[in-house]
Amino acid sequence: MIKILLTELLGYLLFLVFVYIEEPILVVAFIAAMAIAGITLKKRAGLLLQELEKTYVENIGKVGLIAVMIALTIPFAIMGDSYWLQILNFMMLNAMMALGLNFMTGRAGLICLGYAAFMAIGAYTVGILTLKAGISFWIALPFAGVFASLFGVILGLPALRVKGHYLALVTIAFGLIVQELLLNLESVTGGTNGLIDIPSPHFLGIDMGTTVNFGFMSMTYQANFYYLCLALLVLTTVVIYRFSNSLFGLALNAMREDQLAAQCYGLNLTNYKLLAFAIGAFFGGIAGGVYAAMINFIAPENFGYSLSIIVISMIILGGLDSIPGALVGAFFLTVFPEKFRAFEDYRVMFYGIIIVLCLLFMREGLLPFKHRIFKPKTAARGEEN
Amino acid sequence: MTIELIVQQILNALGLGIMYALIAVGFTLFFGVIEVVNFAHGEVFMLGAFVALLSGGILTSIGLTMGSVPYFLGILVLVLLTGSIFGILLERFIVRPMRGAPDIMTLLITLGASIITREAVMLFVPNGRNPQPFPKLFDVDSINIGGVLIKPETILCIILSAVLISGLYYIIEKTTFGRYIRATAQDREAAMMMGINVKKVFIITLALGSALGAVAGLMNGLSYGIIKFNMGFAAGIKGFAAAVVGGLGNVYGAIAGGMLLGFLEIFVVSTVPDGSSYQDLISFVIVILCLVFRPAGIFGERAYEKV
Repeated sequence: MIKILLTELLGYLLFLVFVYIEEPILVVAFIAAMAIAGITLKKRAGLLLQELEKTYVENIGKVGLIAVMIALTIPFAIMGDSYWLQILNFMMLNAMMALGLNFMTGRAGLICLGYAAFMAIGAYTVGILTLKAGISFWIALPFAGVFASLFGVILGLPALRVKGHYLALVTIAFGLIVQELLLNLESVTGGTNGLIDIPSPHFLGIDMGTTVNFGFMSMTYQANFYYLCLALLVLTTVVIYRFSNSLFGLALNAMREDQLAAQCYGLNLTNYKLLAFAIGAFFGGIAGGVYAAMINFIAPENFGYSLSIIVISMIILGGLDSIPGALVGAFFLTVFPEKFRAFEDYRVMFYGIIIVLCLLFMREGLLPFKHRIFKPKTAARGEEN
Repeated sequence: MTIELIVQQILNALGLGIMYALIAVGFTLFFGVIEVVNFAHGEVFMLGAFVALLSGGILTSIGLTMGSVPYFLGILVLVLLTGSIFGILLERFIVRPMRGAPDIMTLLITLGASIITREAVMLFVPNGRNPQPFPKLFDVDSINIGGVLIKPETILCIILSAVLISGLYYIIEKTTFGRYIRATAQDREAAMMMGINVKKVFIITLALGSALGAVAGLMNGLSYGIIKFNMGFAAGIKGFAAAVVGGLGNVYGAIAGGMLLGFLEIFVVSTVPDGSSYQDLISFVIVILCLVFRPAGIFGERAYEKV
């Protein structure tokens, strides 16, 4: 317990140091130092790390709880810096998408190269419902998820017939079709101009788009969304975690490894595939909905092919089918590039290089997926269902 | 619609279709022989166009004048070379290390390679972010035959593709090496046991397919007069779509598939009102329908394992 607390606090401290250092040289030195420290630790104190990992895995609930507690204090620790708060908001939205995509692609093995389309659908759902129909954000947000799920099922239908490369082609095509439709259905979506002035949500009578005053310090509106994103991210992680560790998640794994064998064990592949698409898409839709309300402006080019690639590179870096991997991948690939804004142009190339290097040298990612350990408790729960 | 317009559109469709066909042939070769879908194949298309654009300076410095036939041949050779080299590098550094990995990994790594190539061109070619005007290689105006306006570039592209495709046919069907390729495509292990150097077959296949893709890029520059760093993406997707429609692994199917997509695109654009804004959607819709109803392609004889 104390070990978990201490290591998480250490991580928090390192993160704060990273946020506060400004000089690019210092940032590079910091990252290099961290990498070297990580490698030496793994070599010299491998046993210690393994033990720590075991503690983490066994007390996953406590780990999450402490992490959430720490995350709650971040806006204060960075003194309400609106720039960094916004980056963290994007990071959390990306993490939600990475978790959703990871469920589809990592767990169920259904490759999806058009994931940005789900985010677009969620964003436009919230945008259109709040802007044109005047519906409250809180009612529109679930709709964003549900619509994305619906489209996930629609995408899943051809996916029932095809797999592998063909599925990749279908999903790319799907992403492009959604984007083209957003561009061309001008009366509903605003075409190239997109939707402007999407209203900010109100929470307990407070407009979330305004500055908050805590008495001793005031923070820009990003802090409101920070807590909203955090709450949703925690929810997403818990839901995905529960799904992944259920018999349903196991069935998806079986389907990924061998569809024929899975079918022989009596799994209804049609249902499982469609469900995997629906669940994975849902969180993309939610992330899109929050994005629309936070930025107040959406346009089709925000949800292009490159966004899908960025999310893919996150789950590859973190490790396919690994939930902590998706979170860590989203964290690294959102936060690190911000320190190198001078090299903004190289950003997409950086994502490409990450994909290639990870697949060549570190195929399992930073935090590889751990095969589940059979526990009688899980089995008992499965039988009840 | 007048008869002249119809002939005109048929020519356009032929030019477009043959370009898709050249890209699709690469996809189908890679899939048939190496069992890899190369998502970086669209980039070789873009590279071909850019090499043609940038090599002008070199060719004029060795004394070839622009607009002459040797000049064009020089560009063609350079483009073919670039394509082959790109293919060989891809084989060595991307495809070969991934042998034995799950399909999804190979697919993603070629995707990564395509992003790197695309971004590298955008960043390192001077003013690469903006569309580049592609020079007219021949100073000939469009010819007007009975009201049909024929661009010499279109005719050149069609002839060039016909030559290249016949060349490919010759290599695959008539030469010893083509027999190696066919043998490897049929059964890799049996081919190895017969003493065929499968590694070499892989390298040459990638070089061959990529060279054809690069020429398609050159043709795109010639016919449309403008090229951009991200044009490889759409071209790659459409080429892949054409290959799938024709049945992946079937070279002649790929050519037919490319033609089909080209004709359908031009048909929709010229007949449906406001069709041009949906031009890109047509291929995608066709390929999705094709995958749902005829997963082995319209000419597919072999039913590939898909589910």
